[in-house]
Order: sequence, then structure tokens, then C-alpha cells
Amino acid sequence: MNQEKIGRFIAKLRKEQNLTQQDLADKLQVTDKAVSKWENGRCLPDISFLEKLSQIFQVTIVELLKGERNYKKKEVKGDIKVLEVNNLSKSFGKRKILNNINLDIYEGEIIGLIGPNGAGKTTLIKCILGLYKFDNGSVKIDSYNTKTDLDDALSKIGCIVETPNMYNHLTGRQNLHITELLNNIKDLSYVDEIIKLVGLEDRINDKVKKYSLGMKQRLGLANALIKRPSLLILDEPTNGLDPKGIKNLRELLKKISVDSHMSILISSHILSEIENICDRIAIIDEGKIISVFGIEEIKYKNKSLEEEYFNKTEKFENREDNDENN
Amino acid sequence: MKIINLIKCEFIKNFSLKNLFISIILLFLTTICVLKITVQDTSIYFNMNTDLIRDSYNELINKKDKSLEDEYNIVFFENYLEIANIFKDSIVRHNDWRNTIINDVVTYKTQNFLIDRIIHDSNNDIIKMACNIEDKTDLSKMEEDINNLCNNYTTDELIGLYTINEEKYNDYKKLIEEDKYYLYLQYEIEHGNLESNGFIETLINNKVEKMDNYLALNYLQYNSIGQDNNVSEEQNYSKLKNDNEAFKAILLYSTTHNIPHDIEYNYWNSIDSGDTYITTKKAVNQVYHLSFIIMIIISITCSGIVSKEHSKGTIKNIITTPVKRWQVLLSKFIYLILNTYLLWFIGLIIISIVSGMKYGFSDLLTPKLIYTGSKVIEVNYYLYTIKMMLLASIPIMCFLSILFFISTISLNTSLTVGITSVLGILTPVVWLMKVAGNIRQIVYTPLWYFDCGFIINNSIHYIEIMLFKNVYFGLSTGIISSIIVIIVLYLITNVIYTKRDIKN
Repeated sequence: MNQEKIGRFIAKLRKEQNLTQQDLADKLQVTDKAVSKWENGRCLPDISFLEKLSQIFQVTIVELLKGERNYKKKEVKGDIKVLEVNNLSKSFGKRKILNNINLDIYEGEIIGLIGPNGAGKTTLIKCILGLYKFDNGSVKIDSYNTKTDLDDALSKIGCIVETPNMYNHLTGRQNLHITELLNNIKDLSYVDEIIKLVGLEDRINDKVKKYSLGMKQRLGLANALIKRPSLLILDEPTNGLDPKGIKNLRELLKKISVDSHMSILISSHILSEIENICDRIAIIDEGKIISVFGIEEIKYKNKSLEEEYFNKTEKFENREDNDENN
Repeated sequence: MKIINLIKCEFIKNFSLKNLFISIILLFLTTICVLKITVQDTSIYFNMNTDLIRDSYNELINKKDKSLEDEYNIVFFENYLEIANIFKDSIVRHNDWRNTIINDVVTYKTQNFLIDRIIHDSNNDIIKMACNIEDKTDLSKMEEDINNLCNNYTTDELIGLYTINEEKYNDYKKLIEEDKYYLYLQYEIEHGNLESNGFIETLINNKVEKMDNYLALNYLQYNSIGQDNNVSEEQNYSKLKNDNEAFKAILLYSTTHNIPHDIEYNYWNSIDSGDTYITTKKAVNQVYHLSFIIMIIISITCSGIVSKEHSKGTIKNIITTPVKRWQVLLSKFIYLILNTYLLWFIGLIIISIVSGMKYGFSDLLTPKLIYTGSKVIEVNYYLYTIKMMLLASIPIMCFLSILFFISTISLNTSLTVGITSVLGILTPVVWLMKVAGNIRQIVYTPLWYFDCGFIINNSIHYIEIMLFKNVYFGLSTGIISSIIVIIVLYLITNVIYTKRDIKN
């Protein structure tokens, strides 16, 4: 056992939770000097303290004694696949935009889709939604195949593709009413809850042309949520939002995911936001999914998402170049 | 049902009171213009002008040596002026009964002049010559009269005739002074000059005095129908013959049942168009001509029905729901149709109100007379009009399918507005210009039937084309060609749209 390593680990865990040494000492009912000794590697905490530390920091005792977290995949809340994309390909004329895409999304997880411009993010989303007809492969939503049961499949999805487009000359409530009619929603008791959830109860009866961009995003989200979908697809949701708007959206999405076990697919360029919200990340480049990993993996490796992203995409593009050269 | 929900959505999205208000104003203005152009009183009136006759009379009176013919003419002019002076200062319809009998009435006097001369001046050379002439061609009127009197009457008979003529002249003069049409008719019947019929009975029973009364005009019309009018067999004469039969029956029924009819007059049926009377029903019959402004309104307000959803991006909200693309398209098309019917219904109300205010509302409550199965029947005017509007709306639906096609395939609102508004504007133009040249091809296309007013009302524009261009067509031609175009265009639109990628 490397006492120094353990000490550094405890310090790191403490800082992750924004605790001073005094705070931690108070929690454990010891002096701050004792905490300082542990962190300097001068001595080890007793087994009773190790238990308490394990509870506070949400790590196992084994990990504490190892001085590092065990990497494990995030436990999915179930085995249920909300989205299953198999060998999806799409070409526009001679250009192949999507090339054998495979992607699964499980119930309750938030998955981020990142990639360079032109990689095929929006195309992939549009193929999932049935806006584009794809050439090969299949898309299943809640085990409904979009080719044979498109109606049932689409009733499980809520989405905002590119900007949320509403009818500007109508009020927010009228726009939502249209969605209710389109989706044949009979039970309207929870619509007010959704309006409250997105924070639009004051302005819901105003015309949409008077809304700010943030409010339009929130209305778009409410629109998507009315269907009570299993999967929420958001294409660049933070586009044009100010920092407060971004923060509000992030908290809203987290709340929704936790409260209703809804899966969320977010496509974005803003890596920091993806890093904050998502459980899993998929990197797409040149029409192929080049990497899928959980957010813990990079935390474990002490990297930032940005580093990992550039690493993976450069490798991919270099490998392609090498192939060409060979 | 999903489609009903979708149609509800279309109304929420597209219907606006502002548009409705502007449409009502446009319809109102168009109604005024249409009525001004199509409903015209073509009655001919004139002021009795006796100047020429007076001049001729004065010329003859001052002549030194008057011949027999001169004296004959002087008698004519003198008595003509006497009669004419009775109604000289009033405005007279061109075929007022008084006007038509004036010559005959004066003839009694001229005949009496000749009788007098024949009896008392039998040695006059001219008289002797006229009496004995064998070859009766090239005789003047006077000579013909003399010949007739000499050879067909004995002297006693001539004296008797003289008395009768004087009586008749005075009777007719008195009738003209009284100026009551039914008294004139009664006189004619009593003296065996006219046989009573439904018309005359009604006119007498109703004591119709003036010829402006529609009952009198009906009778005049009836008498002028059926006269041959340079119409040959090749020129669709059978239609005219059938029309004449129908018109006569309707005129009689209209008179005997006291229900104003709404037949549109045209001179090819030998109906003298100088004897029109305008009824409210005839004015409201012009409702079919409102179709062109409705097409323009729809073109401006609804061209974006599919293309705007794409340009604004709201189509994604619709397509990513459990609603099929063909259902989306169908609901939009049905919205177009319902919108058109709404506008047309409003147009009918507006034209009814405007016409009613000008010509009276009571006429609209009377039934419409139509001739079918060899008899005249009464039908509810509005039910009939609405039924014809439904038929006339089928070519309009063809217009809608063209609009829909362009909007959906091009996804360009401005292009759609441009093309369809031109079609709308062309609609009355093609009829009024009576597109020369290859009319045969055009009458088989729906374009010709966007405005069915002339066909349904059987008006002169319609009849003329059939006679001059030797092309036979009717409402059914338009309906069949429209249905074909609607089905073809809609199917193409549907197929292309459902297979497409949604780029926006």
C-alpha cells in the first residue's frame, strides 16, 4: 500500500466534493490535523474511518486502499434498449454520409453525440426520426422497427432538431395544443406540469414571436415532452443560449432523466456541456462511430473530454491517411 | 380520427380573422363590380319624336298642286300626329303596345279617305287606273289599297266599312288615351282579334296597366320566341330549339302563377333583349362569377400551405409524430377545400344582401322555375343555387390541386402565388375575350370552367361560342376533365412527397 498515493486520493476526493480539511474533520469528528496527516501520507486512517470515508466519497474501501477508483461501466438502469441502430447507411447521390452505424441507447441514460462538422450527426438523427430514408440497416425504437411500425416508433420519441421551430404567430399554448392534436393525446392533465417544469407558466399565453431564444428552446422542450417519450433527441440544444440558459437547460435535463427514466440523446459541439450532462459519449467522424465510452472512463484517466475527443479523432483521421498511403 | 385532428390543426395554424376580414371586403367589392357588368337593364326607351313627320306634313300642306298621293299622305301624317301627340311627352318602351298599333290605327283613316274618293270621285284617272290594273307588282301603297277596295267591295259595303273604320279609329284613340294595357287586350278579344290564352287572362285579371310590369313583358317575350334568326342546323340548332321550348313554358308558368322567373335573355333565342326586367334572383345568379376572386384570395393566403411549413422548419414537428405523410397532405388539401367553400358561402351571402338591397329581398323567397321532363317545376332557389355551386366548385378544386401540386413539389411559396394568381386572373379574361383560335382545345380543359357562371346561367357568351365556333360543351365536360386532373395531380403530389427526404 502506497500511503502517499492513498493520501493524494483522499485529498482529491475531498476537493471533488468542495470540502476543506476542517469540513472533513468535522464530519469524521477528528481534528483537521489528523486529516492533514492522512493526506500527506504520514499515516493511514483506521478501518472505522475508512468505512466512513467510503460512504462520504461513494467509493469502496478497496478503492481507497488502492488509492484509485476502479474503472467500471456505469450501471444501466435496466437492460432495456430504448434505441437500437444497426448497420445504418445513408448516401446522398455518390457521397456516403453514414457508413454502417451501430448505436444502442439504454433506458434512463443520457448519451452525447459529438464529432466534427459534416461528420453526420444531424443526418443520423434525421434518419432515426424518419425525416430521411436510409439505404441500409434498421432503426428500432422501444423495439418498434421504424420501417414497419413507424407510427408506434415515433410516438416514443420527442425531439428538437436544429432550432425548435414553432408557429410564431400562435401562442405557446396553441403550439402545444397542436402537438397534442398531432399526437392524439387524450389525457391533458399533465401539460400544465410540463409548462411549469420548463418554467414558462408566465409566458405560455404570449405569442411565440415575442419569446427570447431561451424561451423558445424551453417551449421546444415542452413540446417534445408532451408525448411522454422514452427517448428525447436534442440536436444542438444549447445553440444560441446564454450561460444562464445553458445551466438551466442542463439542470432541467438532469431532472427529467432522473424523475422519469427518460433516455436523452444530445448532439452538440460544446464539449464542456456534454461532459457535465452525459453518462456516455459517442464520437462520430466521417459517417462512422469511432468510439463509445462512459464518462467515468475519462475521469478515471484524469483527462478532459476535449483531450479524449481530439485524441480519438486525430487517430482516426491519421489511420485513414495511413491506409491511403499504404 | 387522426385526419380530423390534423384538419383542426390546419385551422388553428392558418385561419386568421384578419384574412377573413380582408376576404370579405374583397368579395364585397368584386360583387359590386360583377353585378354592374352582368346585370344591366337593356330596355330601350325613347321619347316620341314627331319632328320628321311634322316637317313632311308641313312640306306637303304648303305644296301648291297636290296630287292624290300627296293628299293621301297628308291624311296619314295628320292622323299620325294626332295620335302621337297623346303620348308625345312620355317616355315609351320601344315595343309599347301603343307604339306598335299606331300605324294600323292611322290606316283606318287613310282607308276611309280612299273610300271617300272612290265613291265620290270615281272618275279620277289615278283611281281608275289603280282599280283596273292587272299586274300588281310595283304598285305604291296607295295604289294597292285602291285596287283592293275597288275590286273586293261593293259600294254599299264600302259605306259600311267606312263607318266601321271610323268607330275603330275612335275606339283605339280612346284606348290610347286611357293607356291601360288590359283594356286594350280586352277590346281585342271582344272583337276577335286575339285569342285568349293564359297570358292574356292573367294580364286582364290582374288589371295590368303598364308594360313595365313583368307579366306584360313575359307576354311580349313569349310572342317573339321561335322566330327564325339565321340559325342553321350545323350551328347547334337543337340546343336553341330545346331552349326555346323551355323558355316558352317557363314564361307561361311565370305569368299564370305570378312568380318572376330568372331566365337570362339573349338574342339568339329570338328573345328581344330590349324587354328585360331585373329580379333579385337574376342578380344572385351571378354568384358563380365570384370564383375568380376566391381563387385569387386562396392563392395569396394559402399558397404556403405546404411550402411554408418547410421553409419555417415546422414540418419536422409534424413528421416526427405518429402521423403518416399522406395523412398530413390529405388534411392540408381538405383544409384548402373547406376554406374555399367557406369563402364561397360568404360570397353567396354578400351577393344576396347587395342584390336584395338594390332589387328587393322578397324575390329571393320565391321559387326558381326550371323546365325538366317537359314541364315546369318549382324548386327552392337557394337549394338549387347551392347545388349548382357544388357542381361549379369541382373545377375550383382542380385549381386547388394545381396550387397544392406546385406548393408541395417546389416548396416555394412565391412561385406558387405567382402561378396561381395568374390563373385566377385569367379566368374571367378567357371568357370575356372569347378566346379566338383554338377554342376547341381550351373547352376541354378545366381552365375554361373555373368560372361556370355563363354556362349555368345559359347566357349570351356561352350560346355565342357554341353557335359561332361549332363546339358543343357543357358543365359536365368541365367536371369530368377537372376530376381527371385532380386525381392525377394529387396522386403525383402524394407519391413524390411521401418518398422524399425532408431537408429542412
